[in-house]
Amino acid sequence: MAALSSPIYAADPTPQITVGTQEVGLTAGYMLPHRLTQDHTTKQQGVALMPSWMMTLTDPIGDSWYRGQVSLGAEMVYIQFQEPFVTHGVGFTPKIKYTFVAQDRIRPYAEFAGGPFWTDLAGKTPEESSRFNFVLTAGFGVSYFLTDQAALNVGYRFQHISNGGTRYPNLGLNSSLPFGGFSFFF
Amino acid sequence: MKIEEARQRIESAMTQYGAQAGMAIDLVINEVRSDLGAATANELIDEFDLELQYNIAPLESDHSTS
Amino acid sequence: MRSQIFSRPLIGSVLAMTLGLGTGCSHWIELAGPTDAAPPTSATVATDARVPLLLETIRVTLNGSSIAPPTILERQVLGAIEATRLFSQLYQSGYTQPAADQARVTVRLSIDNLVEPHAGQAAWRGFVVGASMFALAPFISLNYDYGAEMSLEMERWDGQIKRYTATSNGSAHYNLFGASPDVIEQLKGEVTEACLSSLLNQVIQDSTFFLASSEHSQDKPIRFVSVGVCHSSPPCDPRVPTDRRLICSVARHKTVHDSSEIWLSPSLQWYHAPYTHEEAGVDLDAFRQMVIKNPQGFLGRYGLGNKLVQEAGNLEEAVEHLTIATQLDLTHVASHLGLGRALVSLGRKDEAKPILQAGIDAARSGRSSGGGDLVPEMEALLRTLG
Repeated sequence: MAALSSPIYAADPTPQITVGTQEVGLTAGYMLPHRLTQDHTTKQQGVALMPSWMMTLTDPIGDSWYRGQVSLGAEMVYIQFQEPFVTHGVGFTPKIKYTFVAQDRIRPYAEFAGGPFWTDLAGKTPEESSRFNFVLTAGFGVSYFLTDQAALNVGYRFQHISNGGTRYPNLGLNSSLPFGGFSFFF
Repeated sequence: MKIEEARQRIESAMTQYGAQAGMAIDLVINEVRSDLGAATANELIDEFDLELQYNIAPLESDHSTS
Repeated sequence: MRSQIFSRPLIGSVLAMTLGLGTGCSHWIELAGPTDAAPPTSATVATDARVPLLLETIRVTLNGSSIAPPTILERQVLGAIEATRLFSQLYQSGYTQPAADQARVTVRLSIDNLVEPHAGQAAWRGFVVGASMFALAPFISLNYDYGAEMSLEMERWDGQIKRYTATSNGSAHYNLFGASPDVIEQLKGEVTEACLSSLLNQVIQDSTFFLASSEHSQDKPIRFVSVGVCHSSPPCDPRVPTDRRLICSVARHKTVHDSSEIWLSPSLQWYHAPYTHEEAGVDLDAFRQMVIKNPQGFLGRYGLGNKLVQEAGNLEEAVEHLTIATQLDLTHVASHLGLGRALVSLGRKDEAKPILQAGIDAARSGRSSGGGDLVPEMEALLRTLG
């Protein structure tokens, strides 16, 4: 007869994120180009580093799989373009995020950010003529909570860099940015 | 209770009861506070290091109802 | 030329961000008054007439859905009830219970919490703040509403029931950088406390309903206690009857104390009140050990005797120890008072009179170096003995 042993329950880290909870994070990724039209010829690639800060604005809303919380924050974006030239870009983007909280430790999210972006790649490519631009980002990811205060994040972003029509040409640069990072909540 | 008498009682309690003297010393401190005031009681607490040895914290302002 | 082109927008952005960060940190809470804004009530009741209270159930809902009562809420409720001093002891279901044949008041509390976080508004306003590069952060406030509705059912030992209700609500307002979980917790705590105070105020107004009638012996002095809604900062101010004194014992290190009735001399006014009956036993044992170690030690005898009187323990034993204490120190006024009280409680008036007189004489003659403030009380007690 098989002996029944009582299961051992390890403590589950359920994050207690409420209104006012702050999140500080660091994300890194690699930019891969998308030439969406025939006029796009530049294949920009490079490493991206993005420290961020966010604050949760709402308690969980909704009752089903879409139950989630809204966070607002900002992110610094630093990109070192390695192709076609070694150049740099830095930007500041306010960001808004919706995190699905139906599960405890694994929390998918969707995010949107946009803000000013300065890069010296522009002027060297036919798509962009000015160094001062704007960057728009939309993406999704998953946070895996190692403890109730710390999480690992992985995800994907689509980025569009253009100068908003302030100077021509302004085809814009589009790219995919798979990323990974961590966040700390307090 | 005069302060000298209080000192003698505290020393006597520490000698006789050692680590278990806290309750007895607390009685003395309370009487000192009643008769001589919280400041004098706190002096004794500092003098004999009662907070560290017996967890007798310095007293706050008097709330006497007399 | 290049520096002019880049410096102005850059400086402007930095200033806007600094302004947003620096001035968007404020938050404040608005409380609406409870529905029954009656003035705080207090009463003086005979101590012997108080009965124990049994907290049978606390039922909590959040926006209509039942939730488990948070531990901190249970403690807040118990502390508020205990602070009224209307009941002799406090019991809670699932823990030690009063004796089955003991008259008691049974309480069932229901708390309905209503939360309106204004999530949609917060999301949109947050979006606008972000889009403005946080420049609008000091000007756009976010809101969180919280309300509590409490109903209290109190059943007397004879089955009669009284019901009370109270409502309170409030709002927290904060700018983006002033948001913090503590703000919401503070709002919830203040609303709960306001509601509890209103509820218990109604109970105090009906205090006579919850008192058991008691016949007082002519020989035994009637002890009184002042009851009322006590707010968060201890100690409660006790009322002092003309010739008797019951002093609220205040636990120095803990804020919730056992509400057992106590007799204390002013010199023991700030004695550590035990948090539980188990702790009282520990203190008695400590004094017993002192007596065993040194039977002729004044502090052990005096401490044990007074502790027994405080805890309404074995008064015969208290008399034994306090008698030795008064023999060891003939001029110690407080031990004479304690012994006098114990003898009076045992009905041994003739033995109490010389003890009290000796204490008074020691204080008045100056042989005692303190305890002069106990003389009026001793004289009053002596007068009651005839």
